Amino acid sequence: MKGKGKKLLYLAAILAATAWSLAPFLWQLITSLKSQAEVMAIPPTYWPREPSLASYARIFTTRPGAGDIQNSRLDAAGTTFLCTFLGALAAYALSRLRLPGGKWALRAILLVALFPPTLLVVPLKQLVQGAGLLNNPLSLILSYAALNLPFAIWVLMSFFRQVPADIEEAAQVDGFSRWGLLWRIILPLSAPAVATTAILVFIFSWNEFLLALTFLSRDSARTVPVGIALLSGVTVYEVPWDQISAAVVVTTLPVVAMVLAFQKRIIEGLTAGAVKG
Amino acid sequence: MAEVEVRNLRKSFELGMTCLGGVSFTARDGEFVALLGASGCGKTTLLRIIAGLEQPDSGRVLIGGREVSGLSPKDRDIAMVFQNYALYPHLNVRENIAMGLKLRGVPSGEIERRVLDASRMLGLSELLSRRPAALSGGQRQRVALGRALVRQPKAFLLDEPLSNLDAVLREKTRGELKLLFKRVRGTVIYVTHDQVEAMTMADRIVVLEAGCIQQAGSPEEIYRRPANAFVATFLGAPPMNLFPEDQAAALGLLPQGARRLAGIRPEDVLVSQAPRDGFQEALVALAEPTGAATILTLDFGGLALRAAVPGNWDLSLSKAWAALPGESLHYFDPGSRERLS
Repeated sequence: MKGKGKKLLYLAAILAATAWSLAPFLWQLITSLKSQAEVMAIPPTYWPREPSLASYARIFTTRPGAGDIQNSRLDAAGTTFLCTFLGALAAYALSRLRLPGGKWALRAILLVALFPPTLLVVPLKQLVQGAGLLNNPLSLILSYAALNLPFAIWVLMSFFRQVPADIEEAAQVDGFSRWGLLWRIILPLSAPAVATTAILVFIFSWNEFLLALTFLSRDSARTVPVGIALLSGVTVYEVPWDQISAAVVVTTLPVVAMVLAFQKRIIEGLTAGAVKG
Repeated sequence: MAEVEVRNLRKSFELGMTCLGGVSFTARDGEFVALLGASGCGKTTLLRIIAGLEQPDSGRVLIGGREVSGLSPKDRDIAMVFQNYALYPHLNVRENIAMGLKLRGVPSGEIERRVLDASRMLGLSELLSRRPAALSGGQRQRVALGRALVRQPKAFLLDEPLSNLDAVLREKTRGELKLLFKRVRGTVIYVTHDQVEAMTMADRIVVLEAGCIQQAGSPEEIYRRPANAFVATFLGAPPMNLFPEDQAAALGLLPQGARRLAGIRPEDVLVSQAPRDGFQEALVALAEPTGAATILTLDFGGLALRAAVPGNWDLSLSKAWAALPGESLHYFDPGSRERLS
């Protein structure tokens, strides 16, 4: 009986935590199905009186919503590829090749990760402007990749270190070059870490607002978070909450789907090395 | 196959610890050489230097007469079997075995033929599409061997390949390995700490201690004529009885005035259940039956003496009579501990 009570309490706690975390998203979803008038109604309605997908239609017709998504996709994919690629090279070198000063390099990387990105906006903007990359997706891809590299290197390194040295040596005897070893042995064996790194970097890039707002002023280059923030209603005083909610739902869903699909691998990647296995 | 020669290899690790102190030996073409020694004697480091996985501080390695000291492992044309097999976990048995050939640009038809040959020889034909995680220890060990065999390298380097197997499988695999390498006429350098493996498999044994070769010779030679007191007591189970000079003198084993260590192997000790001429009475402190033989620990004039007697020894006896025949005695210098005569 005591065990059953404990189980019920545990279940209630999980439900409460889930409801607490999901409530804002649920509210966005409900809001996206309401009309603007109903969103502003007092007292507020908890369930849409006349659920409609009109706000979804509007974000794709009245604003270049699809273009924003396309830009975000390009920036996030470019960043993910570049960051994971460079991260893998650096992590392998730092974990396996006995580099002089390797320890110091690792500390420096950790130090860089401690800088809040907000501090870097002004100097980065000057750099991007100097390089003539304003309104160019490369400005975001390079900055995002740089900001995420420390994270990528640390996650990948902790995984690479777990690949037994004997396997690498057997591969060397078999005839692998260092490159072949990394691409065909180390990376496939570290797939969970690679997936974790890639997805988390993707999510960061997909959601990033500040740099995207600062570097890209042209409509055609705009990314989703900036696009949503700049949505405006009929008058400047009106905030089109229904469309904003619809846009949030549309842009969040792909990421949620991706995380669910790779859920198991991400958890493996984040907890690897936590316990002796 | 080819001859492997190491000349004056030296290696020290950090903190100035000497691992190899000038090691030289040759494994002739087609010869099975065992590097035998206790943990930490430098035998694995020596093997890794031959493979090119570690660099010596000085000295040379020649394979087939060609200096390979500066070459990477892949350019030395050797194959290695690791203690824990080091198979690629994400590839199946076929891919594991074929990888070395693929990387060397061997045509795919030839790869297929060699993989099938090797897997037939090792009894792996049914397992080719399995991944290492789905194999038993013995099967993994055979895949590691297959990976080495298909390469047809100049030499095989094996690092304690049987140490992860259980006792029964180890005994069986020992014989299979010996036959296998005889059949392919491979030059084999085999690292082990197990003297039975070294004695049963090798054409020649190189005994290492503290990074130096203590003796190199045939199993028979090393067992019958150990070059020093270390080899004498390291090989043999139970080990040779070794008496310091004063005890040897007290037992009357030394000529008048001679200062020597005297040793005798337990199986050379003559033991009788009844008094006999020239035999000295001894108390049986311990009798350990092993089946074919029984190992006695005797209190022999106040000294502990171990003797191997036939397995039908009467375990209830508390007394025995023992003799140490002069022709079976080994003498060593008490200072250098080297063999005398």
